[in-house]
Amino acid sequence: MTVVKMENTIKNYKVGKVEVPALRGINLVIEKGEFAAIAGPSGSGKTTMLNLFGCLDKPTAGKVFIEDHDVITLKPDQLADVRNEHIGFIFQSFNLIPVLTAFENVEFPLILLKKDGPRARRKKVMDMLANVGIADLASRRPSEMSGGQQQRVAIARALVKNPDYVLADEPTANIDTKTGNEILSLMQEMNKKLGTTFIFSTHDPRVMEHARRLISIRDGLIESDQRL
Amino acid sequence: MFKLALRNVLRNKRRSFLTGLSIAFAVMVVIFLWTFVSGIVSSLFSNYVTGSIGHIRILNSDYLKRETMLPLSATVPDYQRLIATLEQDRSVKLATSRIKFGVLMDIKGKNKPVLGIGLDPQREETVLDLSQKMISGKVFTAGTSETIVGAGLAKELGLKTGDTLTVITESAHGSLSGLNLKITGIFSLGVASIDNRTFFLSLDQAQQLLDLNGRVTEIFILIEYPDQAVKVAAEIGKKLPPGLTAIPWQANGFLYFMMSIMKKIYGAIYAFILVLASFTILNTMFMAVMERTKEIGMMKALGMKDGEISWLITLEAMILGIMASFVGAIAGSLLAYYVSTAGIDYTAAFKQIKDVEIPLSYIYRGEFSWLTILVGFLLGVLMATLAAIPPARRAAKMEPTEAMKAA
Repeated sequence: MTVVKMENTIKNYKVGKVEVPALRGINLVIEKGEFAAIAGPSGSGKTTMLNLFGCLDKPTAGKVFIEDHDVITLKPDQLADVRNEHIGFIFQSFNLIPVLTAFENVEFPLILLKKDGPRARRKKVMDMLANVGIADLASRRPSEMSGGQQQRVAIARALVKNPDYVLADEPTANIDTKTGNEILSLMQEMNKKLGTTFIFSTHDPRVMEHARRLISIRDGLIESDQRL
Repeated sequence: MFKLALRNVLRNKRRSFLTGLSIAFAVMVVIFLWTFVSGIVSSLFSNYVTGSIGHIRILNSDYLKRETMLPLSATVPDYQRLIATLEQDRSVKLATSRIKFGVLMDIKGKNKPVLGIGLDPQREETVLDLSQKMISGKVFTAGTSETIVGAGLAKELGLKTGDTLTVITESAHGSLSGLNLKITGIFSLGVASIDNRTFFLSLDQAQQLLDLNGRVTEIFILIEYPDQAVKVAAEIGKKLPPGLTAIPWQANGFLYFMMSIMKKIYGAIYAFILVLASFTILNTMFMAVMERTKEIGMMKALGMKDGEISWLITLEAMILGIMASFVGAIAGSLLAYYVSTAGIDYTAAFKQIKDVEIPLSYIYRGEFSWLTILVGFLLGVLMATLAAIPPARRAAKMEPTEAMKAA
């Protein structure tokens, strides 16, 4: 089953009066359950691709389909709904809400989703914190946790609403190698255990080794797309 | 959402504290000023009303034209029957007669114009509250040649209780007339323009002195609802015999002008203070929003909608506004309570200005009112909330792609 699809997708950015191409015609299909890395040097269009996959931005031309939604036709609030229901995010710099505890950070997307009551939310959050191995840190704030622990909270936050796919932007960039490996192992484990689709960007060759599909891009075009 | 907003307010404690302080201060100043100014306005109003113009007065139409001369030739005849009729009217609280006349007194070789007021001490008790305003002696009795003298005037003339005040003036018929009055007491109404140049005597004594048998210069009326004086005066006016006219207090241009202009000027000042204070909220919330660009982007990426983001920011400002206005309202009500009980004493200032025409009191007391405090509090919250609108809109318009940008 296809979770996200790009068809001849083009994205240009305006810098002053000049249009700068970031993506120059991408065709790509991600199937459910994949663990895919998007690799490429900085400026190659990785982040732009993730923005489009994440419904954070719309393409200049071509199409992006998330489930059955044609992204280009959606209004800002509808895009927010799509993100909320279908997509989990793990950011490079964790991006936790500093004034909330680990528990509350993980609960946050569930509150926005408005589907579960407090009791159901509590169970989901605690289960997910246990899954990522930090159930005992539930009441800590981000400033009281290490980078690796914060990234685990971020993973729990992305997975708690059981999204169709999780986007991770350089998830290991801000943590040391050992912790980075642990985090990648955790993501793999969640991929197997929960069947969650992961799409992550990286320029670190050691991270690419963990991927089962490696999509390399350069200058806004797909250079290679291999199953490992 | 509320929890998140509250914690965001407490995130930068010092900044929130300083912002809150400016709001609290503004709310406090507004409540204090409001209390004080409405005290001044209502004291000015009540001094004017009780001391001279009433809510409504019935005068001879000719008298009105030359009122500053206090003409005794244009008076109100058959006043007792008029008063009896007026007292049937349910909107009238009190109707009583007064005679005002001018006397020149000799003070160390200089002539000083002094105002004599003949009145019924029993009836006027509810108006002027004379028995409570005596600094020595007691109020005169009707029908006797007695008088009470204003404190300032007594001091200037070197008079004290027990002395005799000799009054020589021109009667209604133009002849010279004199009367010796025994001073039974010295009063102070706390109003310079009255205390410095007025003496009160019994109405019948004034009639005798001035050859005004069966006549008075005015009928003084208090009504239930002072705001409706214009309407009530018009109704009374219709029933009056020809030659007489009913004048509402609003016809006193100065008082009416003061009452309306004070409210407007101070309204503008309150608005100005609150707008200034709300700029600090505006600034603080803009800073809070700008430094959280990435966080707000992340929240939007997680699916928070524009409306929810702007509500979050507005809620933060409201929480800050409520906490600060609450503190300001407490401080303001303490100040208001102080100024309405202790008052502010201007006696020293009045020593310099002897002959003020405006009936200003020596001591000003604010008019303490929970409504003022409530309104002050609500204005503080309202301004804080309004000031949050531009930063909240800015936050709502932030791009979720910001979340993806590197730290």
